[in-house]
Amino acid sequence: MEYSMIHFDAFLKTLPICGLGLLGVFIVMGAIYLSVWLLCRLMGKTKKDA
Amino acid sequence: MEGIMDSLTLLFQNVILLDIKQVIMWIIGGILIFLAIKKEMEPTLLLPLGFGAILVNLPFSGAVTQVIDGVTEEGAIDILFGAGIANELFPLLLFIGIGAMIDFTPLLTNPKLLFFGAAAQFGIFFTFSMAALFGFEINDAVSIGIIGAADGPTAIFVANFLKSNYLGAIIVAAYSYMALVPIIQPVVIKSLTTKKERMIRMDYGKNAVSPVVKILFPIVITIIAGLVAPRSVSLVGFLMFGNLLRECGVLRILSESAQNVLANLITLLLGLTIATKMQADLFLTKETLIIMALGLVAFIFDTAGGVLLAKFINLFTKKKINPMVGAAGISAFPMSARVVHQMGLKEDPQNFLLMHAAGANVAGQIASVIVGGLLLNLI
Repeated sequence: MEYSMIHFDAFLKTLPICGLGLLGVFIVMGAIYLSVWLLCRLMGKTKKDA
Repeated sequence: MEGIMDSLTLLFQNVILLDIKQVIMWIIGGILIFLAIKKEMEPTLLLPLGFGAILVNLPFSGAVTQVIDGVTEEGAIDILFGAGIANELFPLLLFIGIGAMIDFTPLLTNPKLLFFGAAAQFGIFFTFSMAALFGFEINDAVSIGIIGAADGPTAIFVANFLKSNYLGAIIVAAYSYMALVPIIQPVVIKSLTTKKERMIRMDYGKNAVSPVVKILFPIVITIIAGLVAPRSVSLVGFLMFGNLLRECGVLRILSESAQNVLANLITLLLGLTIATKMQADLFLTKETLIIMALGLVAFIFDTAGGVLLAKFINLFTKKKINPMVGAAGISAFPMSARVVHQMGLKEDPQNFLLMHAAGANVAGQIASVIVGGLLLNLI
């Protein structure tokens, strides 16, 4: 590994991966959010015990 | 006399073969043991890692595989590595235990916290890019970035899957910085927030979550994550299996075994086994120093990602979110939640952020595993 040089090309190649990755994790978490919302609507929340 | 000298030379020839780098690794091992015992920094990992570092850095150590006079002698630590790390088994089994320990109720009562878990993984991607900028190969750059997952099993799984050359340094960095979360996060949080923002109070939901929802949640997550990132199925699946053991209500013995016996047994072997990557010629490189620095960058930008998302959301909402809750989206569970809660109490003794922070924290646990799987798919 040549750490003494800045590898700008390699850095640029990572940007699409980072963009897709960040987008992907937000999409997945969004899908989970919708699933939880749907589950709670269908199954209902229990009332807190008195 | 000559015979005695020959015998002494034969007996102590290993002392002559001792390398200064190996002695330095003894010192590093000693420091890890000191941090584990005296400072109680992640002792379950740092102590075996520290001791293992000493074991593998003795000349011709029988703990690691050696070729002596053309004959290969297998070392116990390398056998363990092949049995549990090279095939990804140990981190996955540990995940069953971790899943059994997690209570997703704070997240299920406020599922919006899922997005803070996502935002707090920003440091992974930033560090991945920085590692590539500094010349690391892409598989090593991803493995370095995954330090920001703040999750040992995920870091081990991804780095090993990608056959990273720097597994030892990555694991030491990951666990060291996880233990330093109480020091790292407050600095970053205070630099990005005002006192007024840190004093924001948040409401609690009034209802508990249905037991059926708690049972279906791990199943649903596994399906969603598996469809999007098939390579994450083992990571997510084992974590959620552990959680299902906990929530099903009929397998208390298995849940307790997973949380205690299984988790402790695997943790015991994990640290010692990873030490095979702490042999002096593998660990004492300039790259190790860069990795340690990049690991810190990962944690800083993880924290910043969560905080900044909360501040961004606050621009558009009337009901404000305390930005510190965003910082708890890092996967260092449960330490980060406690740190945020303590910081909240310090600013306002009546501000109890623990449940919100815990919700964001477990969201981060899910997000970090998903990011690991996504990166394996994208590379």
